[in-house]
Order: sequence, then structure tokens, then C-alpha cells
Amino acid sequence: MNKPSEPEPPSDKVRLRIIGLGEHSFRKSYYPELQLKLSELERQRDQLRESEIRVRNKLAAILEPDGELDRLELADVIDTDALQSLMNDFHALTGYGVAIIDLAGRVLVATGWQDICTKFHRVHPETSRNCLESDTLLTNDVEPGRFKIYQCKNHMWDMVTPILVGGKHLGNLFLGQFLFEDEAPHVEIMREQARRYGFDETAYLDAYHRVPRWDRGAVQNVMTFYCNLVGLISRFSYMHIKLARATEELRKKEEELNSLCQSITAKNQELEQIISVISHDLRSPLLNAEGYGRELEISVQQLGEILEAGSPPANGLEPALHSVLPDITDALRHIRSSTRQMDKLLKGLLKLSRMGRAALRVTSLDMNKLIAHVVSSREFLVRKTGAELRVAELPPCRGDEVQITQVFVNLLDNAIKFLDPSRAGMITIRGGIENGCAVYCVEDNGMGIAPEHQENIFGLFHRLDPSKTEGDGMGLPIVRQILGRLNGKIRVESKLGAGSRFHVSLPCAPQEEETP
Amino acid sequence: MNKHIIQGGTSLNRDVVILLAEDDEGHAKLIRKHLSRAGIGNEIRCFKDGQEIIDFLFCQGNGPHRESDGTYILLLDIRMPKRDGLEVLKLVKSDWDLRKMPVVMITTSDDPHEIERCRALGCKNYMVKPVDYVAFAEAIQQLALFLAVIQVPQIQS
Repeated sequence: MNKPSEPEPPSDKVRLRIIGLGEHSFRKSYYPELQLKLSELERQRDQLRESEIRVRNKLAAILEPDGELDRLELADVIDTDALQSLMNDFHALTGYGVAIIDLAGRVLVATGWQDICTKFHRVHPETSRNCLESDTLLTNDVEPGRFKIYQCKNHMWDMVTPILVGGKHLGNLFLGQFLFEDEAPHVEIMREQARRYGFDETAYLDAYHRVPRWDRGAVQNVMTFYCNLVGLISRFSYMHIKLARATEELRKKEEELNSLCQSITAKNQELEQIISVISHDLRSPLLNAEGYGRELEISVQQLGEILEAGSPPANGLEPALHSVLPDITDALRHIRSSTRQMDKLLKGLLKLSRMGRAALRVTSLDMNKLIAHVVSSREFLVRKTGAELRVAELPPCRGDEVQITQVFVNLLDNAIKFLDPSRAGMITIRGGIENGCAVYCVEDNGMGIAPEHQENIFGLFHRLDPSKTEGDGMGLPIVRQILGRLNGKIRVESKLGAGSRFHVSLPCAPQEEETP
Repeated sequence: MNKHIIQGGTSLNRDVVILLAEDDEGHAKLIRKHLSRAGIGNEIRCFKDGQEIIDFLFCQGNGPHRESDGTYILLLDIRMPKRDGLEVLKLVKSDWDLRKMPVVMITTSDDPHEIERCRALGCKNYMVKPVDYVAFAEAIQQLALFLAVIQVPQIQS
């Protein structure tokens, strides 16, 4: 016979391996207690998980507005502790016991158990089957609000009334084993039972004699009382469920209302910004058009005066006309550029409005593919500036393909536009997952943005340096609007003279495979 | 009523230089024209954004700097790129020497908040560019009268 050798105290190398807690080291652990502890913890964890699921399901069943009560069990609906306490007092007062048992045979409330049941019948597998049958099958055909007297298979009497909640039969209330006062005890039958099931005859018969013997009338009264009690419990439980549901629905509606309020506030802010833009940025060219229109009037007036002067001036008409013509040309130039400016602004506003109203098709997006498209569409521009563009591996996200493409086109365009001509341009696009969101970063080493402008850049028509760059000042407002509609965010990090980083966050794409 | 007095010519000291900070080239030109029509023949220097006028006034940067013994009046547009008019006003009013310089804010809006902010920064003179030419011309005329009547203190340093 092989005697396992005593394990030596583990060397440092071995101890490290054990402390590494790998699967392998556990199997041949020098510390069996650890193994035991671990399996106990695993069991507890599983139990906890199961009970968590149960509780969650029950809560869902209660709170579902029109849900069937199918998933509910009696234990979920009645306050067993309060009832137990109540019935304890009742038993102490009156000597009458009670048992509340659900349809699966689980005992929720019990008083006045008889020894013959607890010490003999419910313990022995065969007799306990009889008890279970009594608890469940024999009780099936009783009308709510009424009770039935029946004899259990172990030869004692019981009375039962069903418990219904919301019209659904969830359990039963039993008076408990008893004998009628005017009944002769079935001693021979009980002796025969003892012999059959191997009970200690003396103890068994003794327990039998201790079973209460009640007056028929009193028993009827008690059961009537119990039926009323059950009716009360039933009504209260149902009301409780309805109340919980109504409260939950109210809470959900409140949440919806809040979210609606938030989106209305956001829309209002957008509208206010547009109005402010219209009143300032549109008024400016309007003023020019009017002002230079008036200048034209003055020039025409001057021409009129020259023509009406009767005799032509000494050196002829030409010098007079020559002096007026440049004014006319200049005025016309201003008028036309003003109207073009107004047109551009209006186009920008229309674009913003259209993007805000466009229907969204939200799907999971392969960002590697999407960014590759964006990059290739700007390839020529990038090459022209000589900048280097690097794109890292990107996580997928959820969004509208067309609109997200627009977001990154705008960001890339900005990065290219605001490169610093004094150094080699470097633009990087990378991404990752943070806090359950897909985040992307478009980074450049360009001119950067001064801190006081970092919020302004998202304003309508804002342009950092209109004299040096092209653009309608709509790129970033559109980006913010799109991300707002898709549950995303944008944030800028920038240092003047060093460069900028635009951080975009979007909801994650749901994972294809869930690792169990 | 004002036109009558102005047509007779102003008594504005010819040495006073008018600084016009206005980013819109069209507006700047119109203001120049109206000022000259109102009889103001002083030198007018234009600046097209907040940074340029700040560099000029505080003698920094590569552009032109003000003369240390010059007398100036500043016509300041509220909305300008790079640094807006309110910022410039704040800087001017917090400089010991520059705050003596008369400043007139010009803008297209009559937003009471903006007017209040200007006043809070120490500038009571506010001119709204109305779209209506006649009123604009009158506003400029009023400015000319204002310039003619006030004493322009010399800025030290």
C-alpha cells in the first residue's frame, strides 16, 4: 500500500507557483484547505447568482404593467413574517393552529404542528408523500371563500381553503391535523401504521393521543374566520401588486418626461444660437448692401448733377465721369460680395437644419472601414500638405454611417486646415473603449487653439482666422449636432502652438459573441 | 439739427488720430466715407481684428505701434475675430494711461446686455450700426459732433 509521503515545506519557487493560483497548481495544491474554501466560495457565489436572478425575475413580474401573475409564487406576494407572528399569537390565544402552503408544497406559515406530523409522518419518505398529496391534490377543487373538510391519507382530519391573488390560485390555508371530539380514536389502524413504517409504537401512539380533538361547531367557526382572513390577505396582496405597478409606471413616465425635457431644452438652445447668429452675422452684410446701395445713389445723384449743369465744365465731361466711376464700381463690388456672404450663411444654416432633421439609420459600424473611406477621400489634400496621416486599430461603435462619416470628414478637414506650416504635419486617428463607450481621438500637431476659444469653436459660423483659411464655420457645430443625436460626445484638448486633440465618444457596438 | 452745425466744419484738433477697429472691410470704408462727409478730415487708421489694435495700443508685436505723444480716439467694433471688442475695452480701461483715451463702441446689435457690459467696463459711448442708411449717417454725424466738442486728453508715456 502506498503511503503518500509527507509533503516538505514548499520552497520559495514552489510557493510562488502556488500563490500564482493557477488551475494546475491548485490541482496539486499543498494546501487542501484552500481547495475546500474555494469550492465553498464558488458554491456560495452560484447560490447568490441564482437568488439574484430569482429576485430580479420576481420584481419584473410584479412591476410589469399588464403582466400575468404567472411567474409569481405565494411567497412573493404575502408578508410571511407578519403572518407567522400573527398566527403565533392566535395559536397562543385559541389553541388553533394554521398552515399556509403554496402549490409546490412549500410551507410558508405554520403554527400548532402536531408531533405526529413533524416527528413521524413528514419525516418518513412514504408517509410524507401522503402529506404532500394532501397538501396539493386533495385541495384542488375548493371554491375560494369556502372550505373543505377532508381526511388525510394518514387518517387524520384537516380543513382547507384556497388562497387566490388576482384570480390566480397561489396556495392554500390549512387548519392542521385534528380529530373530532365525538370520534373514536383509530388505535388499531395507527398501531398497524407504526408496524408498517417502522415507527416506535409507544411514541407514535402517544403522539396520536396528543392530536387535538375539537368540537364540530367550533371548527366550522374557526374555518369561517380563516376564510375571511384569506380573503383579506388576498385582496391586500393584489392591491399591493397593483400599487407597485402603478408606481413603477409613474416612475418610467417621469423618466421619459425628463428626457423629453432635456431634448427640448437642447433644441431651444440650438434655436437660440441660430437666432443670435442670424441677428449678428446676417445683419452685417445686410448693412453693407444697404450702405453701398446708398453710395450708388449718391454717385448717380452726382452724375445727374453733372448732366444738369447746363453747360459742360471747362475740361469736358470725362474728368467728372472718371471721378464718379470708381465709386460706382466699388459700391457694386461691395453689394455683390455682401449678397454672396448672406447666401453662404443661409446655406450653412440650411445645412445644419437639414442634418438635424435627417432620418437616422443606427447600425453597428466597422470604424476601420469607415475611417479608411474618409482617409481615402482626403488623400489628395493630405499629400498636398505633405502631412503624415496615421490610423490605428479602431473599435466598432453604434451610429448612422453617413453621419459618422461626416463627423470624421469634418474633423480630418480641420486637422489638415490648421496645420502649422513651420513644421511637418502629423495627424493621428486612434481609438479604444473607455467606460463602456467607444472613444476616438483625432490628433494633429498644428496651430492649436487658445483656451478662450475652445468653447467658441463649436459655435455657428465661428472661424478662427477667416483671412487665412477657407470654410463656412459649420464643421464643428455640425459634428456636435450629429453626436448629440447619436448619444455621443465631443471634447477638445488643445495647446496653442502645439496642436489639438478632438475626443469623440460613441455608444459601443453590442458584442457578437458573449464570453460565458 | 446737428447737420447745420457740422456743415460749418468741426473744431476737432487736426492732430487727433481716429483709430477704427472694425473687421468688416465694407463697414470700415463706409464709416470712413461718412466721417469725411461729415467734415472730419483727421487721419483714420484701420485695424481688422482685436489682436492688431491691442498690438498697436500696447506697443507689442510686429505691426505699427502708437506714438507715445499721440492723441487718439478709438472707435471699437464689439465683434471681431481673435479678440473681441469687449476684451480690448477691458484691457484699455485697465491700463493707467490708455484709459483716458475716449472710446466709442460700435456694433450692429442693441442688446441691452452688451450695452450694460460696456458701461460696466467704463465706456458710456455706444453707437448702433443700424441698417437704415439715414440713421447711420446721423449716428456718424453725432459722433463727429461729439468729437468736435469733447476735449481729447493727451495720453502720457
